[in-house]
Amino acid sequence: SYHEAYGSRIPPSVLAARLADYVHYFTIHGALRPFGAAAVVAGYDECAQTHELYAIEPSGHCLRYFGCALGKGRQSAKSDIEKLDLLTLTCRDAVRHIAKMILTVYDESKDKPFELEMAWLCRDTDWNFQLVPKDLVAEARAWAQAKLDEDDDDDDDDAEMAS
Amino acid sequence: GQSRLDRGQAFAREMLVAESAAPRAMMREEATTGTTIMAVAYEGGVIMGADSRVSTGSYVANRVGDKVTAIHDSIYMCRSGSAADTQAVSDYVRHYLAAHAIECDRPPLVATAANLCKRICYENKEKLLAGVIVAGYDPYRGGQVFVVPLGGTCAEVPFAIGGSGSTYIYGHVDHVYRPGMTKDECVDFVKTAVERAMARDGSSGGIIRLVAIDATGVERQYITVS
Repeated sequence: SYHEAYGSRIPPSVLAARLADYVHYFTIHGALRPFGAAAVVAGYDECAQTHELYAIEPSGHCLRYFGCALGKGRQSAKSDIEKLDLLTLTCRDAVRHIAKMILTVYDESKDKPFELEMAWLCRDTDWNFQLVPKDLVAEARAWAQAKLDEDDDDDDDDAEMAS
Repeated sequence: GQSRLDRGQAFAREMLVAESAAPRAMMREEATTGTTIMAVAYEGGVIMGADSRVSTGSYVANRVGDKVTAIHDSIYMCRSGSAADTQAVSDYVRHYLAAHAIECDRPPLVATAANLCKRICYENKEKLLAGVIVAGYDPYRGGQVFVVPLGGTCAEVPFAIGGSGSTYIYGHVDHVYRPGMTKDECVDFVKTAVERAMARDGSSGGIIRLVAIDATGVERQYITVS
């Protein structure tokens, strides 16, 4: 393992690159099919002292991001992320915005009910990966729901005005 | 480890006394760096020093040997014990460290170099006779010294001495060393200590090789001792 050989924790950039190489291999070997899944790696680089985010796609593509989304609702999530100012956003505020993005994609008629799980990695957690406390998640979800209802009401008002 | 050297030297001495069979005695012995090696860390870097005598039994195979070898741009290793073993170890460490630096795309940590050295020395402890000091500068943690003695342990220390000559200067270095020395004070510390060891240890001698490593790079010098 990396730690046994080199005596320190693997930097996220190296981990992501190695994962990407592994995923990429499945796209070139004849008897194998590519992975049907993508992954986001979030980590803290102890040497460079920065937090980093990497996304690895089934093609083996690996890029560093400041905001990324994968899965069914990634297009709308990505456009929502672009509206945020990522340089000044705090983790606590981000929790709310993420909850809103996920609720935006959720379609009551088509999707099953879901559990919202969140985790973070920041200075306050000493750069360790921790689950966001349940009450914060619930509060964020409630805030997001309220925001969405507000937007729906605005849309209805506009429609009334138009007609 | 030490007993192998003693047996060899005793054998050579016997042979010489018996019938001046020095050449035969030499061929049964491998070249060793019975040695004095030393490294000190200060805030901006490290100073490393060593003698230059490489002996096979009592014959000096090389009186100007270089026991402070580079394993990366700003990471060096002082070697003591079997010359062949330590050269092989340093070659492996240099190779692994280079590959690692390329993968990580950044200068390697001194701690990583020391860890690689420790892995090799520990996993092959039955076969090796190598006591080594890994020291250097990296931009994340500054100057560091790691000592990897015979069994393959690894410890970070403010300064380290090693080799057969080091036994004669333990008192001296413990008395003189203080934390927070400047670069010039460290140079003086290493120079004086190695000189004293060379004066008393038969397996140490020649010139003093000094290597100074800091953020700007590496400076090498040698000092002749009368």
